Amino acid sequence: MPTKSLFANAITLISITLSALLSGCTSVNKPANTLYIAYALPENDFNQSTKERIENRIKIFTQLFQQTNPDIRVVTVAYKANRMKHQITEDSRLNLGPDLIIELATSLGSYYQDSLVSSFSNSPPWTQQYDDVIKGLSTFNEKLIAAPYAIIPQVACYNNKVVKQPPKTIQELVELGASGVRIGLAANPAEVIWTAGSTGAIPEISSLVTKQNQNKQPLKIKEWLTWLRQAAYYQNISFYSNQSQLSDELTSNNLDWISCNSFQASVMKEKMGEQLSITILPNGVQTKAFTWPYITAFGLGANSSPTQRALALSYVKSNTNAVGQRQLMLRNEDLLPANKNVDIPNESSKTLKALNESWNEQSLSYLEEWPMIIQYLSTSQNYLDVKKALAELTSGVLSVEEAEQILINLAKEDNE
Amino acid sequence: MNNLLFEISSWTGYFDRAAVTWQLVLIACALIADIYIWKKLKAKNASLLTYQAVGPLALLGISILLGMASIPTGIAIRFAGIWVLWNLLLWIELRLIQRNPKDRKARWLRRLARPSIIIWALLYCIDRLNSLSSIALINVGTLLEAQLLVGGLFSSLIGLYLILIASGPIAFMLSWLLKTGLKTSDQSRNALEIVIRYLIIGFGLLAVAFQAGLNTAALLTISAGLSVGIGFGVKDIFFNFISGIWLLFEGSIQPGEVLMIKGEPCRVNKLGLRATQLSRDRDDAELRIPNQTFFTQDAESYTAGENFRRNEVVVGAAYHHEPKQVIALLEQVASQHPKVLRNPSPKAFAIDFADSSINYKVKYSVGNPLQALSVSSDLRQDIWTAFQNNGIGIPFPQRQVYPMEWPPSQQSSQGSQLHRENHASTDGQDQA
Repeated sequence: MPTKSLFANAITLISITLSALLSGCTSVNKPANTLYIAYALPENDFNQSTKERIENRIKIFTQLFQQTNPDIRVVTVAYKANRMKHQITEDSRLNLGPDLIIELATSLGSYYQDSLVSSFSNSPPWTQQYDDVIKGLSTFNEKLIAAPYAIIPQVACYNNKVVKQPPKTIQELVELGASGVRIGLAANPAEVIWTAGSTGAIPEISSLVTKQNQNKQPLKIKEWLTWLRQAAYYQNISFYSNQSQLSDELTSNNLDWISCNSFQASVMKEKMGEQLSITILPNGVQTKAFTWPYITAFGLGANSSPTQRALALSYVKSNTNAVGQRQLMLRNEDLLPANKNVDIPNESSKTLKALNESWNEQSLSYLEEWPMIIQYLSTSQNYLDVKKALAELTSGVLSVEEAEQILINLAKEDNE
Repeated sequence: MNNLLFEISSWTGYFDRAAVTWQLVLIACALIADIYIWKKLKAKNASLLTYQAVGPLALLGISILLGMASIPTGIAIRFAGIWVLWNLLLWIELRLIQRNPKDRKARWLRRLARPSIIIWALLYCIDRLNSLSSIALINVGTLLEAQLLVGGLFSSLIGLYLILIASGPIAFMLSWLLKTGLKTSDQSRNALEIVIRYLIIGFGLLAVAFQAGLNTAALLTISAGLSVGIGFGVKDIFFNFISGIWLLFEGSIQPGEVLMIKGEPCRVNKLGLRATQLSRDRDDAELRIPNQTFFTQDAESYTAGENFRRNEVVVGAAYHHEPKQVIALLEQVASQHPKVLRNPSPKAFAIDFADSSINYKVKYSVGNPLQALSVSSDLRQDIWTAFQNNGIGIPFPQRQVYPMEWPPSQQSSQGSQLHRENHASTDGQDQA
């Protein structure tokens, strides 16, 4: 039976090839240790240049790691952001999951729930390097499941040829729009909630979760939603589904001022050059903008061998300790260190100053509210419901009252 | 290319994981055991299904049981699943071939279903060991100023394979639809099928090239350069190619037609782009004749305008038989043969007053030119029988042979001289 022997021959050939690869690509008697790192790329930007950009950044991590582990081979695997969890789930079923996962700290919680990542030990070296907000974002059931290494703050990006003086308050932002400057905002909850901070609505949203002041009318939430609705009326203020679209529009010169994150800002800088300026998002008259930073972190894969786990921990330590974090910050101007023991040299650049202010003065001014806001938006269903309500509000489908009722009811459903 | 090799070689790092290594050992043991069991069962003449099922099902069963005991067997289960599927398709294919060696379903299983399983399994493995989308972005080189990415290259190759195997059935279907719609002949349908097939392949190749991101301007430039190169270097092939296209469009030679090649009737089987494929009637030999032959040399066709062949049988009858009776009989015999066409009807003629007979020729037509020889044989037999039944003789020259000695002996020489003298005196008496 020729086909039978063909199948056997194919298997033999594959075995020989694998053996040859093994022998050819490892040292004589000792197999090379390999560390697999998974990371995500946006599905709408999954291309060679984006992959190269991210991998160049990971190379910096790897260089720091290889200073103490020079013979270790580090393999990076890129996934489409919307498919990464599914892919890692499938890989883990075959014990082929990665040793390290680079993801948002908030997303690693769901990986942990599905046993795709393991927790770090709660011993001091890990927990003492983060402040309470970051620790809170990285902890699940009192276990540290993510080791944050970078903060990507939310800021404002604008074309300095058009916008001479960036707005300091959201009232000034509206006036700027009225003066003819084209303004872009994202309708995505995490990317537009900064306006809730500027209008003073964050404490009220937080109290919806804590059930405090339940009898009091949530006037500030209504004020926030009204501001969003009015902004949508203005000719020069446009809402887009996410910040990626906003950055595309700004680089295409279709917008002049947008909300963005520091990573997008660095990408836009390559295209716009000196025309791009970065500053903090506008505050309110009395309250700060509730800027939502992305906290990127390492998660420990669940399938590692003992050697690979030790290497993974070493990799994370190399990149989260104070020295490594300072090195990272000096080499990348678009992120802040997650380690609280690293000082940020504010005066070195305007960009770094804006990032520092966004994180330390805007985001961290809501220390008490953060856990509640995360809880409010933590489930994917809640997040999608809020997203839908905001999109419908800014497109005129929902009235302010209807949108307000949806937000209040979501909190009630959670409490029940 | 180095990046790709690095990615592939990096997969060996998974051997560091005991859960992976042990499953690979389990699979290897299963494969070795399968070969051993297969030989044993073959010696006992076990059924095909048995020795195809035992290996993969045993691996699948063991893996599932171990999996229930929380022992990692994900790789082994998936490998066994693919193995089962492969052997199942193989078994179906072999069964179909046993029934009919030219079974179309078996051909599709071999050409499409089984390669699909291999490709799917390969992609699945790559996706598990790395990420398909990530591997797809690896650059393996540059062609015509375009970066060749693994993903584009792989999908181009798959596309090319699918175009090649699917172009046949699609062309057949389209030509059949056109034939039904336009009510054309079978021969036209065959020609149309070939033209459509090459059009699909041609446009398919272009689509694949564009999909792979090849530079169109560079493609055109290279085509122009190639044209010059072809003109000098491979002009014969190119001439054959052009001749093939011309023949297809002109329709002067079509599949099914019968041509005389070196005095032998041959049927055109396939009109290829380089050569025409014919089968010779005499010995069923397959001939491949370059298309340009039909442009540069005379080609005798029996079926250029019509599908039948005109043939004849010559026979002699004795002088004392009435020619009209013989002609009627010959026409009747020819008309009664089932393979002789009624229209045009058979015709007999008296063609010669020969030495010992009046010669007749009966002309007739057969529907299938390649049957002309067997029909003429049948007719000769029928004519002999008919002549026998009607008392018509077929004369033939008779010869008498006298043995002679040389040099003649004395006695026989005198005898013969005497005989000649007697003969001469007799002749003289007659003359007197």
